[in-house]
Amino acid sequence: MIEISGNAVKPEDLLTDYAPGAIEREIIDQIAKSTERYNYDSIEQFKFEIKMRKEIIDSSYELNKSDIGFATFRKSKCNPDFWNRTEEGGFLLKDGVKASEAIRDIFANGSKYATECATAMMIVYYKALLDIYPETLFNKLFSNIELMNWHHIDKLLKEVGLMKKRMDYLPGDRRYFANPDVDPLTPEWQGENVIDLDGKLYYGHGIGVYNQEMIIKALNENRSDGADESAYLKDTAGRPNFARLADIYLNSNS
Amino acid sequence: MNSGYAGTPNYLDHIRRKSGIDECKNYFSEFGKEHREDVIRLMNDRRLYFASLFTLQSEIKEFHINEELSERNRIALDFCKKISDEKNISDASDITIPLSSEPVHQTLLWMLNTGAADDGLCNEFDQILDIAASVLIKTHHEWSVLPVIADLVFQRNRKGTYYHDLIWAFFQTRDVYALRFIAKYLRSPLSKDIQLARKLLNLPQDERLIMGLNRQQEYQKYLSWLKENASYLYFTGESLQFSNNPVPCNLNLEAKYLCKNTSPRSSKPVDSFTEEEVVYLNNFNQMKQEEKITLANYSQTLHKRNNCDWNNWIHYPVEKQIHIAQYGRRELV
Repeated sequence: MIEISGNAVKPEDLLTDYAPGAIEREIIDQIAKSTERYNYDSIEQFKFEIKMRKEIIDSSYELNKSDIGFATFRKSKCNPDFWNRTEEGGFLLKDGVKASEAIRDIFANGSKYATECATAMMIVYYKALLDIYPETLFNKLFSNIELMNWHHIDKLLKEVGLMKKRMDYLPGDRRYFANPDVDPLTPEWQGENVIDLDGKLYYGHGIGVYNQEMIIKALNENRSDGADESAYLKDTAGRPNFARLADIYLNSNS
Repeated sequence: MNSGYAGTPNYLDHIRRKSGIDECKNYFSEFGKEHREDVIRLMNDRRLYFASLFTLQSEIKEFHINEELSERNRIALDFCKKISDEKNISDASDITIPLSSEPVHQTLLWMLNTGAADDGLCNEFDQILDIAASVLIKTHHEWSVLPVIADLVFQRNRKGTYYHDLIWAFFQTRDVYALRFIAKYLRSPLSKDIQLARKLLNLPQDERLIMGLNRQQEYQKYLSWLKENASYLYFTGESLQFSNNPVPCNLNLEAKYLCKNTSPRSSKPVDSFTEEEVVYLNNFNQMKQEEKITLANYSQTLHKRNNCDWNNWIHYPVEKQIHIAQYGRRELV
């Protein structure tokens, strides 16, 4: 159920902005049919979430098509014109560099970058916001980006690192495939962070865009000898605080 | 640091530690030209630290002495090569290592126990230690290395170097008593240690404690909690790759309420619930979270104190149970 300013809203009233077959319609349909109450302060806040989910999905496809490589944190690499590689294998925005340009460079010069799946998720979120926020606002908000995993995360995006059980799993959610019997020689296959693209396909950096079965198969191929536990999709999701991000955006326009 | 060997050091280790890696390599190359057997003897010395073997890999290759090295050294070199070959996710090394064999087990123990003293030598060296730890825990269930791994984690956290794979390996033990090796850092004078310990033990961050107040009390409190709840704890498999707030170990409240031991691996009770217990749990699960905690704590305490009283109490309606747990009852308290 969708509630805006405390009032239940019919999905038909919200669908008109979106073309038939568009992913936005699927998202709206799903939350409208849910028994969970999805509360929004305003129609603009609601539309922001839908837009951001769409941008997360688009950025996932875009990153998948870029030349960015996979590497463990110990062997990660980045373009030194924009980023400093940290001792932990993360990427820290260089002084004097605009965050917007540094994020765009990852997509434009992917071959200069290699990292793990969690970092790729963070890149997707930043790119989604970059495609929504005015560039000046983006650069003002994110002047100290550190790309790694959930351990070093901007306060504005910290909720994507918190995985919780949800009533519904929606396109644009971050999900996680766990691989409990992973080969100890390759701990990077202990699990795969993914973006839910449409409820059937998932983007995971290092694997690509595949359905659940294929991702599980890829993880299972990297289990230890004698493994008896299959990889599986965990019943949790991470989501940014859409309302807060929307309010920042809406206030910047007012 | 829980690592290394005591006693007279190997001469190669001595040079490396005193004069540096380059000097060690030079010594090996120069001395080895005239004294081939002697350098082989030095390499095969059981006191040698793994870092010296790692450092001298190219010299060993140059001198063609691989076949004359001990089994320990040959396995360790193969292990290093296998890991350095796997530069990308799709790369597969052609080196096969029988990971579950006893010689590999003993070699990895040597690599980790002596290598820990030189952690930070280089990225590749540290990665080899991580993977040695991972194989020792997952394949060999070698719990003796837990103090070494815990120390490495906190040491790296202080230095700001990568430790996430080591934490993951540590929690793969799924042994509740492993948590003690993390808990000891609650007493550390360093706030960075305390913050990480609290995060890994899933304790709320408390500025007062981070500032150094009541560290010993907090540590003792945690150990008491661990002792009380050890039978009902399970490991979730959550890691820093999964979440910024992973809960590696969790408490099965239902099992505690019924005083049934929990499998640390599956989170389920070792003996499955009886039909009668399922009815109790249905009532228990109707309660608010705080009430569940009160019931579980009371149940465990009463069960430990007097099994007969517990048996009476557990048969009461859950409302009466919570009343007794909250306000006490003469014959049960």
